[in-house]
Amino acid sequence: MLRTRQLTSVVTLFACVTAASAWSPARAQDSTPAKPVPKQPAPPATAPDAPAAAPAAEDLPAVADILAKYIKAIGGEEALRSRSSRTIEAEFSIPSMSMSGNMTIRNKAPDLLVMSMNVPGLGDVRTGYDGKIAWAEDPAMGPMVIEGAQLEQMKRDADFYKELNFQKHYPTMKTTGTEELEGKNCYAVTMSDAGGSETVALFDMASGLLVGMKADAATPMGDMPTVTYLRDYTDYDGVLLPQVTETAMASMKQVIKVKSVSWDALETDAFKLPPQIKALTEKTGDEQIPPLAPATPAAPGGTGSPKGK
Amino acid sequence: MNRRRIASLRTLALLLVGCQTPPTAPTAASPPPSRAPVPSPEPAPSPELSPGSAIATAESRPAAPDLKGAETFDAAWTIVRDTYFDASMNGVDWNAVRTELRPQAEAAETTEEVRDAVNAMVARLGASHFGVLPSQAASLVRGSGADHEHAPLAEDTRGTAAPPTSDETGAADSRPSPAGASEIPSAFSESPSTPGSIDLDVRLINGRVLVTRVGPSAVSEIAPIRTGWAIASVGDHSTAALQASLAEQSPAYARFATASTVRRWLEGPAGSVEHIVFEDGDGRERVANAIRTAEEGTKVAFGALPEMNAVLEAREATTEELRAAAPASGDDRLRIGLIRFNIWMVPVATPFHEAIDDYRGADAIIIDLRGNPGGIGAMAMGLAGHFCDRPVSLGAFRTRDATLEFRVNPRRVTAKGVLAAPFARPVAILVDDLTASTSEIFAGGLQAIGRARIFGTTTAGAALPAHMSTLPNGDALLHAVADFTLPNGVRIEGRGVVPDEVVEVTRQDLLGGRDAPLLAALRWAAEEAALARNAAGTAPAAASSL
Repeated sequence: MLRTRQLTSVVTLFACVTAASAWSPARAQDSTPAKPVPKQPAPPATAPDAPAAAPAAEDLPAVADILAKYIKAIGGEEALRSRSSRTIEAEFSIPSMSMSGNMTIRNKAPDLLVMSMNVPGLGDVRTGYDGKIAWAEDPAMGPMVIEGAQLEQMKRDADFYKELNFQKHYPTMKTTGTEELEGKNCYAVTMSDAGGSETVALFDMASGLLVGMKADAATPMGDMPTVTYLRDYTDYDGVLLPQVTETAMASMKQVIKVKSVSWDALETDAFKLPPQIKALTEKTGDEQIPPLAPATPAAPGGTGSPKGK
Repeated sequence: MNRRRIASLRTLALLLVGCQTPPTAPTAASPPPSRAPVPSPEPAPSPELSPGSAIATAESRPAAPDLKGAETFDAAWTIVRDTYFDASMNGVDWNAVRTELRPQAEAAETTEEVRDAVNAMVARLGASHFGVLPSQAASLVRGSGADHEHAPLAEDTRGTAAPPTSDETGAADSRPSPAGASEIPSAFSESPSTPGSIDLDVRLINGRVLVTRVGPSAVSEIAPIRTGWAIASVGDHSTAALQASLAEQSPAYARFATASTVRRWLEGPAGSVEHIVFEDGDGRERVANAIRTAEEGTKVAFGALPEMNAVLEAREATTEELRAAAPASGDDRLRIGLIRFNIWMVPVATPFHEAIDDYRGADAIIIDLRGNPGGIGAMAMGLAGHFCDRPVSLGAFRTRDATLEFRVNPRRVTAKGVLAAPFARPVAILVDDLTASTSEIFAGGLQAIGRARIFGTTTAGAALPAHMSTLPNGDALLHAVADFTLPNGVRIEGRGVVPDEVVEVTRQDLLGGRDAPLLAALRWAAEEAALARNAAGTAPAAASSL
């Protein structure tokens, strides 16, 4: 699971610390915070700590097999589909900048998402998707409605059953090789979305778990290459989620550490648009905006040539 | 601890960190080596003037058992090698730099010597936004009163010294004491540990350290302080000696270092009194016992930076200012909003938005960024969105692996959530040689896209997006990770933003109470408003529906 896209605002604020996409599992019935099981229980096909041997190129498994193993490793389709909403409380940090804060990620089926972070010095940074409109809001940048590639990215992130919907979000997928990531031999699956953007997902050969992703994250400032590491998968009431997600972007690293997960306690109201975003989206055309002040030709500027005394 | 020296570090750090924005970095096609003199941590003329040495003095205590000198140096060297946007390292042989300077760090006996070695290393790049931010900076800057050198207005000094000896003329040859404390408004009687400052701003102009602004809370026990007065000394500090120590430096660096150092002298515990000797416009000595007041604004901490106070002031130009600027206009309907803030930190975002809402019906808005050293880079996009109705770019920054645009976010709602259009009338920005980093991105970007007219003097030329990375000894390394170019391809680093109307500040203007750059901007705004009204059929500019 990657917690990425939601961090776009923060990305823009610092050194473009985004992530790649947000894949999160789900399941179970009760809404009490799940107690983290401090181990990685995914039943590996081979010995847990021994990197699986890399297969020859001609022996690369089909994407469908890799995904099936992944789904099974994180709890299975039945477990995932048994859940309909999830709240994750986590700690967010950018260690190199001595910055940290709390974050909450709320996600509800089919595709509702709100992520909020409180970062000292930056205030409350929020982003979300209500099934139609993707938005972001932070004190530095102000409110904005997200469009274009970012919107598509947000739609993927908001899909509560995204792990089961790879094919929907990535029409083209292919096992393109093997890579070692943090001592794990992995299958590399190259996935292309409808817009042609590629993501390389790395699945641990042994456990089947998704352990890394490489992608160009869409930010308001442009695409930013990212590498995301998913670590310490933990059993939260029958569904495995990575307890630690680390995203490297440019020369910065951001870390999200899950503190608790609760299931099926969210109402749709939790995903209502914030007032400023709602105001923005009520606009159907510039004619609805209060008239602009008479447009005075802007100052020439730009040449930087001194004209003064 | 030497609080004043730490405070100077804060000032420098702000300028250095200025552009805490996304990263960036080019490679083969990288620009020529930057030689921006102003904020680069070049060798300082005195120990007080370089970040490392400032703290060094502040921490001249027995060396810690494990300074991690070599480890810290190696980490800093590696970080810069791997993240500096120009992979050619501005043509500097980075390996050779390590070979030369690492032994200094290895042999360091104090923390400050380690910092000196790291600062010397990064200075070789000749770029802004490099330097060591001591781990204790924040706590030191806002530390306990025990650390302060300045004498607080302690009880044992009250009433024991001679009363003020000067009248309004301020002419005095004796050094007044802090007597009269009982007359100090209670608001100034802060705890000795409350940080304060004398509410003045200063600049080095034509070889003199001049008062360029007297804030509303600048209180002298003797006589009002005037703009244009030259500062001879602050306490035991002589401006002549300071200037002598800067004689070998570039003029730009000397201006920066002088202003930041004198401002540091003005800082101290709220309620404390500082003896300042001035020279007025007639060459007469003036003395003042100025009282430090608690710093205004909202405290903000960001990353490894020391805590700062963010202040925003907004008002409308007065009738007197408008008449002084454009006596021929005779238009009493003219409304021009003035917004000034000291740093790009989040606490100013909402007041800025509210000020824009207040001035939506104004004929023009003037933003005063003089002395503003920068801050969070993304705020340039958010605040510029108040003046742009399209997501235009203020410029691009390049890291080694990506190019990102400073794309503005058009602000189409008011602070209260009501739909509104971005302000579309004329915008002027005031800058000077202490305007740096994010301020330069904002001003230069709006100038380049033709959305604002710039008044004042060329800015600092220090606009590299930077990060802070923690070092093994606990310090943070500020390091530039991106280059920045304006939409017209112009690079700000080492060049600065050149105003459309260069308006030098003269002592004569200051003595006469004239803010020449502001008056020039007001004059232009009045002309633009007149043109707009004529074009619109003479009707006064209608206020927006807000």
